[in-house]
Amino acid sequence: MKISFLFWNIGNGQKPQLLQSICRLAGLGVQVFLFAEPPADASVLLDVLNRAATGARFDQVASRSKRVLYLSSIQDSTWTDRFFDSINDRVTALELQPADATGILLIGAHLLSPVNQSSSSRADWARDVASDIRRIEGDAGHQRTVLVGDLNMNPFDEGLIATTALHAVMTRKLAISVQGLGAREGFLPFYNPMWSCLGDRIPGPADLGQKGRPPGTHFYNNTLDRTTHFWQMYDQVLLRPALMDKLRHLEILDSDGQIDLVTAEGRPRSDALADHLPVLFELEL
Amino acid sequence: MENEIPDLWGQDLKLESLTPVMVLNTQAEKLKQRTQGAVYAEVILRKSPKITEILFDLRAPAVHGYRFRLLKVRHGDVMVYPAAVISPNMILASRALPQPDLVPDDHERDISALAKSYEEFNKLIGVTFQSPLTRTLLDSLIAKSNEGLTLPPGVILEDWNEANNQRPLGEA
Repeated sequence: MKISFLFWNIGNGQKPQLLQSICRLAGLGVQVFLFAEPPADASVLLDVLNRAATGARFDQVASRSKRVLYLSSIQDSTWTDRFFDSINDRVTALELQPADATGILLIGAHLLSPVNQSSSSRADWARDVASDIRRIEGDAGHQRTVLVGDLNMNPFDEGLIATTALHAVMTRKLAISVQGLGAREGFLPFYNPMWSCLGDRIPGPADLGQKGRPPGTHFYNNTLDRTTHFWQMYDQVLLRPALMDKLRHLEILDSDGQIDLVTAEGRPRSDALADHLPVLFELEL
Repeated sequence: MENEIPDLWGQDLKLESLTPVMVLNTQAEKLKQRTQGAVYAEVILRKSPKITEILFDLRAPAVHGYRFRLLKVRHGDVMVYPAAVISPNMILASRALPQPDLVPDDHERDISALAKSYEEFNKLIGVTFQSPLTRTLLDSLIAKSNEGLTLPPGVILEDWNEANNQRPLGEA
């Protein structure tokens, strides 16, 4: 059973163009939407989605957490709310059990912004999140986990790569081999496929003469900072080893199939849509 | 001569004082007893060289092992008091705010209270445990546990989405 997921930080947006884009994405076959910074009342979003002629009916997945909003059109599936942190509502942890497929933990996150937190502080928070994920996996009794969200860190930042933090490595082979290292014992890694999405070049000769792909998910236009790399890969999908071979497709979208989600310069259309680009991924469960 | 030197330590020096983790662990045991296991608490201790952090998570086996983080406590390594109690319920308490070195995060500090002694700590934990938020949560978890995994006889389960989808157009 193939399931298509889309994560998007929509910045509390309810602009007509954004809602139309979300409907078009549903029309392309997205079955589970995960929205960071969702509107306080999801009913407008749901109404628009369900009025659109996509052939699918979406429902909000119930969770006490307000961090990430889940809308699902998967039929005959069970969702179980696993965790709520009344102090720091940083992750929404739901277990998805489709009728005829293996269940997964789908953890949606929106971690602390770099605006007020240093890199080491965000890494410290990532350690707390990683520790909570291990605990939730213990509660669920398995480690078929996807962590998806606006992590507000890049794949190469300490909070992502450190063993005691999210421990997200760049290849599937590493996700297996690091488990045998004594220095990393007790810290199951994630496979981070977002490493393959860095930069604008599409692999192979097909890139010649083309506009390229989105180099990241968020553009930070600080022209005074002489060390900035402008494009950030804040929105990421991480998979535990048990799920990494189930990933069928991963893409940062610059189009909803009909209109561009980026400006002529290739940056997110923050005025009409959102200042982040959506990440689409498919799992074969 | 020795009898003339007064005891300057005051009357309030008590030998019953306990560390925050001991208090919370005892309360976890009491909750399990009171709810006959329907709801219990996990006390998680995390130590760094300077700060000790304690998490207090409620668990409900009958609700798929749902985990609810009720509060967090932070204190020094040897100096367990003052201790910062971090919980949304702290806004209900008359309180002193902890210093940023104990609770560096602004949001956490906003929902913190500082317990300068074992007695103050007990009072703040009592505020959290007896707050409307905690009571509502405990009532719900206990009720769901009493319901069990099967529906009471005579109750018909109808799929909400299916029922809505099958409703004729125009019907509310």
